[in-house]
Amino acid sequence: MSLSKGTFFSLLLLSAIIPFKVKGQKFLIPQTATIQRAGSIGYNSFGIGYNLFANKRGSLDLAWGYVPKSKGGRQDIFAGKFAYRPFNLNIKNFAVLSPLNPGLFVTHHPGGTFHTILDKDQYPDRYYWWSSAVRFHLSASTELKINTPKSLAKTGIGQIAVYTEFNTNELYFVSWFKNRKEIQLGEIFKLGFGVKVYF
Amino acid sequence: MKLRLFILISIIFLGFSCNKLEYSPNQKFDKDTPQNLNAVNLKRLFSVSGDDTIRFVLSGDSQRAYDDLPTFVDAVNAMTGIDFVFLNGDISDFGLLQEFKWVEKYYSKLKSPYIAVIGNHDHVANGVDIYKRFYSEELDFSFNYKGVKFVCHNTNSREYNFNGKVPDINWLRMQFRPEEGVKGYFAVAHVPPNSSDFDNNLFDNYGKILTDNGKVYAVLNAHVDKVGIKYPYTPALPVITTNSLYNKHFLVVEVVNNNFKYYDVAF
Repeated sequence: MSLSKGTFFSLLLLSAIIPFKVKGQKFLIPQTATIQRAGSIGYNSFGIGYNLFANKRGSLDLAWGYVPKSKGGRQDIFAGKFAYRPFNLNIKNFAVLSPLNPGLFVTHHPGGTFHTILDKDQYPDRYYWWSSAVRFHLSASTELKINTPKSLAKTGIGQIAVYTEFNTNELYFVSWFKNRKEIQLGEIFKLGFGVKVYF
Repeated sequence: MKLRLFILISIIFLGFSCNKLEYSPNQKFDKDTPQNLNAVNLKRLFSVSGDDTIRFVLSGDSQRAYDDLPTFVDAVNAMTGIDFVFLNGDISDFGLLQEFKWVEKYYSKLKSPYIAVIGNHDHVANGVDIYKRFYSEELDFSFNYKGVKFVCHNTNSREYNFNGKVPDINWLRMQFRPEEGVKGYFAVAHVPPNSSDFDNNLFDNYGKILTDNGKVYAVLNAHVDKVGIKYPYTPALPVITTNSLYNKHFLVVEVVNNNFKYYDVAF
């Protein structure tokens, strides 16, 4: 198994942000860990994340996912995901429901058949206007964050959340936009679900 | 109470949404992806015996033309005596599985079987793998129908950075060797030989193979988004392009006895 150049650089990028307990850089220690199924970032994907803003309503997740050969791969996917939770409903002391969380994310698909920039020797300028390796996604998720019992406090797990997430990407969007008679908006939104642990 | 309701709704929702799970827009297939449609459709074509007339549709560039596909399908289905339909490349715009699925959804409603040939846009991302899964493991293939041989092949030279191997000259030379029982030939491919996307170093050899055969009715292409006829080799070898489905056009090609003619249809 040899790593492609794209995979190598993506790993390098990820390792650069993977946190070490260096003095004064505590902010780099991840505040969440995520496992997700589907959702256009892999058959399975694994991520670390950070809470953003003083109100902690924003989140940034960095994930690596894969699609095995048997499921239509083999494909690695690197994702950087941003989301915001405008509505947070307390369900007794048991859980917090964030019903509609808009977000944006970018995915990178390393590998030989994908281009980030077109080879200038091979193609005239803007022969294909998009990059096949990089997708820009719009997302909407629903999250239920369950408070863990005090007996688990020692484990460092604060809360465990389950979520579902719909997303579309810019190429699906342009496909839909010019064909609104035949393609329902719902058709271009794809689903994923996952579990997120808050430390 | 609220929570129970939420969980219940979530479970129902997930149950209904299983076909919405996507692992990647670049996945090469999913559980619903059809396989070897060209072979399946050829089998269908050969199972029907009709008159001696050959009448087929040349359509191309279905990329991002979903709103136009139902009217296209209706127009073709309203015609009588269409033996089969060519989808002559640029099935997809971005080489994505979802696009192939959308196009197949409409083309599968054609009464006549359809044969898909690969285009340059189908080479983007995992498009080639998706094409192979949907339609044909081989990008170059041929079939005989009522004494006419259809040689379908890959002419998307730019996607291979003009490496001299596309189109496959040696394979074409074999295919266009005169054969007993074949009264005429069609060369079917996405990119026309006079295009800048065709390997210019192979232009002469390509023309020589087709003209030496002596029985080639025409080269049938798409790619240029307009209907046209050109004679880049000899006056006996027309190179015909069909307009794109997005522009709401296709061609009908007929071979009656040994006479070949075609006309453009706007829908």
